[in-house]
Amino acid sequence: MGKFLTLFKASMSEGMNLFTFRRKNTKKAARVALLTFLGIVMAFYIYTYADMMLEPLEGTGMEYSVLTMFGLFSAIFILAEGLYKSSGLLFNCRDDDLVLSLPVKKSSVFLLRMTKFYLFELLFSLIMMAPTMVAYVVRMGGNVEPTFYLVGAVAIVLLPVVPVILAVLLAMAVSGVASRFRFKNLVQIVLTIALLIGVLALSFNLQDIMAVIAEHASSISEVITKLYYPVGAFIQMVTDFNVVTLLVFIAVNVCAAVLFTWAFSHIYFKVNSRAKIVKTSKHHKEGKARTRSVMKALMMKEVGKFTSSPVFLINAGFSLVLYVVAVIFATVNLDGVLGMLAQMGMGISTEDVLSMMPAILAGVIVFSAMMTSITSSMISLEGRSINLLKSMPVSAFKIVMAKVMVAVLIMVPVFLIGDIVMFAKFSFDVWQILAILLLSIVMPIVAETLGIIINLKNPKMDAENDTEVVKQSMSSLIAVFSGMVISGMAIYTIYSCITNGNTATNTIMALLATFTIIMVGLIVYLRVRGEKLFNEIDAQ
Amino acid sequence: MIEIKNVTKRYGEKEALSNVDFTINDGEIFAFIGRNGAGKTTLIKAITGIHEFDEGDILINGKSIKKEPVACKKEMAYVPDNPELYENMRAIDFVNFVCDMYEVPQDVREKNIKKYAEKFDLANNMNDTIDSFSHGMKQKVALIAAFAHEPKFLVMDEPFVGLDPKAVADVKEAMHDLVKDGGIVFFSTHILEVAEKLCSKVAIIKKGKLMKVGDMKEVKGDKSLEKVFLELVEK
Repeated sequence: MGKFLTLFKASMSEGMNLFTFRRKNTKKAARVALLTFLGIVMAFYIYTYADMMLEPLEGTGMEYSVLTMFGLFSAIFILAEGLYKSSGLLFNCRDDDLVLSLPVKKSSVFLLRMTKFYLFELLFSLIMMAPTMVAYVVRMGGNVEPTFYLVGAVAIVLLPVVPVILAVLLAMAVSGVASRFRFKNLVQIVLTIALLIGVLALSFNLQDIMAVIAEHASSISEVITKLYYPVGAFIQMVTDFNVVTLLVFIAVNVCAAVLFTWAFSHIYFKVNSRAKIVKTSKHHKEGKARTRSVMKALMMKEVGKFTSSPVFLINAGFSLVLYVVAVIFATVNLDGVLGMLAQMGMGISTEDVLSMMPAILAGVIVFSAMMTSITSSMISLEGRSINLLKSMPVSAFKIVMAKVMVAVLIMVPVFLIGDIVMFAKFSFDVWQILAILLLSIVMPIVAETLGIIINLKNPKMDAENDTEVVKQSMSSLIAVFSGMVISGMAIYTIYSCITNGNTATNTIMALLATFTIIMVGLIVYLRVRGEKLFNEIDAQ
Repeated sequence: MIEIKNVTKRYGEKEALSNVDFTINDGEIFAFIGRNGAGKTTLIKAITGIHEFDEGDILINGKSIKKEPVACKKEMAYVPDNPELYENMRAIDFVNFVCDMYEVPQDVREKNIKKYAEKFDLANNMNDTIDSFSHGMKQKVALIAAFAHEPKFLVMDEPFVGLDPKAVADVKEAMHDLVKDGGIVFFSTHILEVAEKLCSKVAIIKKGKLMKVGDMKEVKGDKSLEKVFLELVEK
C-alpha cells in the first residue's frame, strides 16, 4: 500500500502539476487563479442552464428530473470523452519502462492509471453536478432532506466510476484490435469515431428508449434504474432516501472498480505491450529524396502529426463533424429542430427562424470555430523535439504560422461545405452570402491564432502522452473556456441585435467587422511577440 | 569561427553559465567536457540558438546568434544527446524535412542522403517510421540529417551515446572529413579517451565556469586527459 501511495503521489504530481504552485511563483499562481475563474464561469453557466430547466417544473414535484438529465448527460459525456482519452492515457505512456521496472504489482500499476484517469473525470462530474444540485436546492426553496447533501456528495464521487470502466473497456478493445494492423493509428481512429458516433446516436435516441421502458415501469426513477442503474439509484435516494439503497449504490460502484481492476490488469498489459509494437515493411527500400519549400515542409510535418495522433485528430475533428451533422440535420429536418426547441420551452415560429437563419448560421460558425482549437495543443505536442526545430534556420513566426495555416486549412473547407448546404436550402441575399463566406474564413483564423498564442504562453513540453496535452493541459483548458466565453458573447450580441430590431445582414456585418479587427490584432500580436514567446519555451 | 564572448546564462538565481569566453577556430575538432549539470548542454543550446542567454554574445563567422539567428543557424547542424525526433515520420521523411529547412538543393540532398545512409548502415531502414527504431538508430537518423545539409559547423551533444562501435568509427571519420574542408566540430562528451585521441582542442567546465581551455596537448601536458579532468573538477 505504501509503495502504491508513493507511486500515486509521484504520478499525480506529474499529471496535476498545473494545480500546484509555490508561493513565490506568481505566474503559476495567476494561471491557477485564471483556471479557478474559468471553472467558476463554467459552473455559473451550468447553474443558469439547470435553473432555466427547473423553472417550469417548480412545484410539480418533478424537479428531480433535471438531476436525472444532468446525471445521464454527465455519464454519456464521460463515456464518450473517456473513450478516446483513455486510449491515450492508458496506452503507450512514456513512463511505461520506468514504472514496469519497479517492484510493484502489475495490478497496482493498472489501478494507479485507472485512478488517475478517474480523478480527471471526477473534476468533470463535480463541475457538472454540483451547480445542478445547488440550482435544485434553490428551486426547492431549501426544502430538501438533510440526506440530500450526503447523497449528492456520494453521487458526484461515484457517478463517473461506471462510465470510466466502460470507456476503458472499449478503449482496450479498440487498441487490441488496432494493434493487429500495420496502420494501427488509422484503424484506431476509425474504430473510435465509429464508437463515438454509436454513443451519440444512442444518446439522441434516449427519448425513444425511455418511452419503451416507461411502458413497463411505474415511476421515472424505475425507468432510469432500468436504463442506467447509477443515476436511477441516485434519483431514488433523492426522492425517497433509504440507507440500504445508499449502501448498495456505494458497494456496486466500489465492487465494479475493484473487480474490473483485478480482472483486467492482465489483459491491459497484454494490449499495452502489443500496442507498442511497430510493424515495419519486410521489403527494405532506400527512400527517395524530394524537395519542398520551407513552409510546405513545415505544414506537411503538422499534417503528419495531426493524422498520426488519434486523440489529437478526434478531439479537433469531432466538433467539425458535429457542425456538418447539425447543418445537414437543420436542412433536412428543420421541423424536428423547431420541435426540439419547443420541447425545451424555447418555441420559435418557422417564419422567425427563417428570417433569422443567416444570423443563426453566423452564430453557429462562431461557436464551432471557437470550440475547435487545434493549435492550442500544437506547440506542446512538439515535446522535446522542439529543440530540434529551434536549432533550424527558420524564423519562429514561420514555424507558428505553419501550424496556424494547417489548422485553418482543416477547418475552412468544413465551414464552406456547411455554408453551401445552407445557401442551397435557405434564402440568403448576396451580402449575407458574402459575409458568411468571409466569416467562415475569418473565424478559423481567429480561433487558431488565439489558440497558438495561448499555447505559446502555456506550453507543456514534458507530457507523458498526447492526451495530457490535448485534454488536460492548461493551454487546452484555457482555449476551451475562452472559446466558450467569446462565442457566448457573440451569440448574446446576435440575440440582442435581433431583439432590438436589427436586420440579419447588419448583425452579420457587425460580427464580421468585430472579428476581422480581432483577427488583425491577434496576427499583429503574434508577429511582434511570437518570436520571443517561442524562444522562451524551454524543453529540458 | 565560433566566438563565445562572456556568455552568462541564469536559471532563476542559479548561474548555469558564468562569463564563458573562448573561440573555436576553423578546422578544429573541439571537445567540451564537464560533470553532469556543469553547463555543457546549456552552452550547446546557446550556440545553436535553442536557448537565449542573459549576457555576452556568440558570433558564428562574425554574425551574432542573438541578432541574426536564422543566418547563423543556416551554417550549423545540431545533434542532440537524446534524439527526440518526429516519431511518426519515416526516416527518409525526417531527413528530407531537415533538408527542406536548410533549403538543400535536390541533387545535393540526393547525393548526401545516399552517402550517409550507407555510411551509417541505415540505407535499408530509411522507409521505416522512426518509432520503430532503437536509440542508436535514431541517433544515426539525426546524424544523417545533420551531415546531409553540409554544415560548416557541427555541434553535437554526447554524439556517441547509444552508437555501436562501427557507427562510432564512422562518425569520427565523418568529423575528420568535415574539418578537413575547414569546418568545425564542437561536441560534449564523457568519454575522455575519445576526446583525447580525436580532438585538437578541449574546454573543461565546472559549475558553469570555464576551468581550462586550449590545445589538447597544452591542457593535458604529460598527464592523461582523465587525470587533468579529475584534478580540476575535484578541486
